[in-house]
Amino acid sequence: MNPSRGFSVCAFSVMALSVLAYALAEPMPAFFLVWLPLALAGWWFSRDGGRALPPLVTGLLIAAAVGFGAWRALESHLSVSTFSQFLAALLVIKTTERSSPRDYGLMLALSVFMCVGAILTSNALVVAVPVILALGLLVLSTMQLQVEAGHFAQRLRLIRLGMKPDATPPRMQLRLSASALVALVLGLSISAIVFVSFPRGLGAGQMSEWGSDLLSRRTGFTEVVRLGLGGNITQSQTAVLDVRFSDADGKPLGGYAQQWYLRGAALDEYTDGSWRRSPRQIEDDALPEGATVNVLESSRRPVQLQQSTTLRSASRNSPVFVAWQPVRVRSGHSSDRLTLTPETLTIRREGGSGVIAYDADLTLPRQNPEVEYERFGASFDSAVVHRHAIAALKAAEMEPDPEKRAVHDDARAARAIESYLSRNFAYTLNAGAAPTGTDPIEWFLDTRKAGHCEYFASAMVAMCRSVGMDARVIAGYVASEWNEASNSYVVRESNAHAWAEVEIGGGYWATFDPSPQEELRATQQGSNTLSAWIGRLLDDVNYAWNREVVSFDESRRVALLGPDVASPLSGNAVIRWLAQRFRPNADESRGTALARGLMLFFAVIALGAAMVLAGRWLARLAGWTQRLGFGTRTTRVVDPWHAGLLRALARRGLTKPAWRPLAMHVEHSPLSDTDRTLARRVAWASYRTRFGFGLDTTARDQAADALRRLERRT
Amino acid sequence: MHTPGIVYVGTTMLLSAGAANSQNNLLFWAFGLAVGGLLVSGILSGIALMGVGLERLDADNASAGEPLRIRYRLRNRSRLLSCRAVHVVELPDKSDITPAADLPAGFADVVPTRGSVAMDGIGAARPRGVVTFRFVRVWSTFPFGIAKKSVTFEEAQTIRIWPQVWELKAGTLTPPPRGGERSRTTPRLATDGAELFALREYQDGDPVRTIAWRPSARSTELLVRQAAESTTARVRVVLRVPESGVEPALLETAISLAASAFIELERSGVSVAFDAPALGVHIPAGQGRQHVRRLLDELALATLGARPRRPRAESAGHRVVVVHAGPVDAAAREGTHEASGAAQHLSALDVESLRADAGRPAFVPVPLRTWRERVGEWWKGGRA
Repeated sequence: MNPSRGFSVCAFSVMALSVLAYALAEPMPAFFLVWLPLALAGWWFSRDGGRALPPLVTGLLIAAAVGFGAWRALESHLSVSTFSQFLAALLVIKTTERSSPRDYGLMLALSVFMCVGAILTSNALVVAVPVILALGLLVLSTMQLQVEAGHFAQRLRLIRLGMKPDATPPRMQLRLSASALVALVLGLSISAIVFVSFPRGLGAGQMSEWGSDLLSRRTGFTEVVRLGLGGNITQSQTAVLDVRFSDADGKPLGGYAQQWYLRGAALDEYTDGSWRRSPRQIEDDALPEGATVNVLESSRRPVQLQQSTTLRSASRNSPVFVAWQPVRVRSGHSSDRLTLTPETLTIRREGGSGVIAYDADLTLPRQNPEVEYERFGASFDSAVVHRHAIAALKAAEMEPDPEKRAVHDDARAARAIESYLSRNFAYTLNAGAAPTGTDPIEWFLDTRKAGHCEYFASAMVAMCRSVGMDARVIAGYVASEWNEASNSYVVRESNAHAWAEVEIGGGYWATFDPSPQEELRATQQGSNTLSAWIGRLLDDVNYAWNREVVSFDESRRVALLGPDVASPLSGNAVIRWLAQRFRPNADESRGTALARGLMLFFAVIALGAAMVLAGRWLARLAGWTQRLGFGTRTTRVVDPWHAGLLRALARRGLTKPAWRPLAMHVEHSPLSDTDRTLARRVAWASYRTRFGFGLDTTARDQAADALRRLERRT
Repeated sequence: MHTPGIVYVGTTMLLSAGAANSQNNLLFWAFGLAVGGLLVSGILSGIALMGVGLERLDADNASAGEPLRIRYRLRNRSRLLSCRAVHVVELPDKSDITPAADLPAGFADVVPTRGSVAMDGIGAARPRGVVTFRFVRVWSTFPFGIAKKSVTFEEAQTIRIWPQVWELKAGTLTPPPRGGERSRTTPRLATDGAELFALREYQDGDPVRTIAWRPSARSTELLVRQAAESTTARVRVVLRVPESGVEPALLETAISLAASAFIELERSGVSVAFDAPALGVHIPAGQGRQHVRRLLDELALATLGARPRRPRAESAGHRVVVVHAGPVDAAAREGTHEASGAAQHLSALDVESLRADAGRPAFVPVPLRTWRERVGEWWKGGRA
């Protein structure tokens, strides 16, 4: 096959964009950088429309790709990533063989699957852009492929018959652009309708994790703080979440000077230099299922702050980051299950992965009069820590002994410790790790005297505990990068942070951040360079993409389409019944879930096939195929006799006047008896055909013979 | 719906299942796009084909095993949608168990709005005879190759398939020298270089090129030129079929060999007559393209068992080339009036040594098969 240059470029671009989308989704830019030269080389060597490699070599390469894919699948597990890499390898191999339209069709089909693989891997805008570009070019190249395939078939036919085909048949590439644009707009419009109208929640999780973007990337936030081992101290600028605050009336809150602490996990157990959740926290209370769950009784806790959050790449099991104490949480995914740890008021969600949106109504933490404030004794057994705590309190002229210190002084004591740490210790991201055998907190307080937020928070919690105040490390994010255009904060991996919460009243845990604020801000706030400005602009687009497209949920769908859609009389009721019916059981094994999924899949296929067959049968009954021209066999009768007879008579100088009927013309024309008989027969055939009476085989042959004889006698 | 369409629908359903399972909004969008592609494909090609009309312009007569070309004109009545990537294919007559031709098919890039385009459908004629095309289908998978839409037109057309004609090796036939054997019958009609004898009235069968148009215009009758004498030699080609019968394939070879000899002689400027008593074919001596065409037309329809016709007396003075649909032995020569004299005998059995293009396949290539036929053959072969 020797296609036009435009088609070649278009097809290759589709392939390259699909692989680029996957490489960005993974993210493995190097993968694309390796793939591209290989594909270009294959494309170049097969530019004459043939094979760049002998069939045996091509077969061996395909076998190697299959073997590699199988090995990867066995080594890890059959994932989207493995399959996409296998497809990319096949694409490279296919570039060396371009001998027929089928090869191009296969390449384009593989590219489509690559795009699907990219979507399954990540829903980020940076992935969606090349996918959308590839889609536009795919439409154009598919159209071109139809034309190229037609030329190829004709060329093949001529060669098979021993004829010499035209070297360069005329083509019309440029005109296809308009058609492609129309088709693309139509297709996108239909896709938008399907996107909005498809009910969310139906069949969610029926087929294990199939279709989920499984990558669940590390966000810089971890729920175990291992001092000196990194974790929350990443400087990555990857955006993790977007958050918007408003007051109880919906008025936006926030600004450049204001920052919010987003609580993720409360770490209250310290062992071997690590903070983690204590076992009593693991036994969380499951909140009632549903899109909206009440965490605290709303009557007792008025809503003071509303928070809308979009996690850009959440894992299936992740904390719900909130600024204050949650009153209500509304998840965008009906399949999400929320669990609450009452002691720490932290919430976790389990369900879908990828882009997750949730809204939360919050209230300020305050003392609970019903909870009696019970002070602990010194609970952190470290002489070094205790010494520093005493020094901190003595500097503030406060009593370190909890037995002698007034209860209402605990808040001031905590503040004193916070101040002590932030004034006397330096902030650095390069704190390093404590020597083996040395407690990291003691090493930080006595030796290093510099560290990052984890050290400061750990030291404060340890010091508070050593002087009888209960405290815990909180891991989460600090939202400080204000985006005025969208009235929201962009939170990046570098905004991951650790701070302390100290109980200073009955059930009242106050937030303390002992990290030096100046250095912390310098580390976490973005710069004002042009690149930073462009980055923020892209963040705006990303926010809109994630908020409006990727996290589009059932509540928005209902809000968009109106309440009628959700009425019990509509199909939604049936769908919800089905969704309840097929909700997966947490106890069932993955194999059972897969089997159920397959059964559902084949049931859908069978249903679709039955609908197609029924539709065809009905259409045939109603004769719609003939009327609408959609059928595979629409017969339109053409009358060859009329034109033939007129031609034969015209050759004799007997041109028919427009007003005169054919039969009358035959009768009034100066013809011999034989010719008139023949002409009558042809005219009769014409009338029979035109007026729908039809002709049997004998009559048709007689008319054809008469016409032939008439023409011969001319 | 054809195979790519079925694969597409399967992929679309897979996408829908994946989207529903994962609630991944981009998968929902991809599913929407897939549905959009399906609808657009069906709607665009369906509506575009609804405005298309087809007319068979003409068809060349073809020789068996040679390409068969039919010319079509496609018209598009639509003001909005041009019809793109249009295939035209002749459909086999359902009553015809063994189709007489590899069905002609053609392709056009585009039929513009309110416009027309002429295109060729190329096929291959298979056996000698008459092939009738009745239904012709226009189909397209534009724009995405998913849905195959078609419109079928009914328009009968009959084409004669002439016998296959080969080029014979040089020296196979030895034509008599010009002017050697003169006609003893009435002066022949004027041909190239002939001296004018007279003008006479036109009679049925006179070649059109002998008509004297200017004198006819001045007269009330149609006049033809008549030559004073024949300047060409005459040869009669006779096709002999053994009375004991002959295999159909050998008969076809013999017919082709006789036709080839006839045309070869005609090209060398000899006036050629043709006799095939067993087929009921007799062509009087003559020359020119019309003469050859007449022979081929007759042979296209000739069948064994037709009423035998005796050669006319006029052939007695001709030099004779006898083509035998069997071995050339004494029995074949015996009893024939060509047995004596300078008759040249050719046998259909020796055709490979007589043909100049012996390496070329004598008949049409293997026809294209559908995948169902291939699977069927494979299944039968495997079981055998």
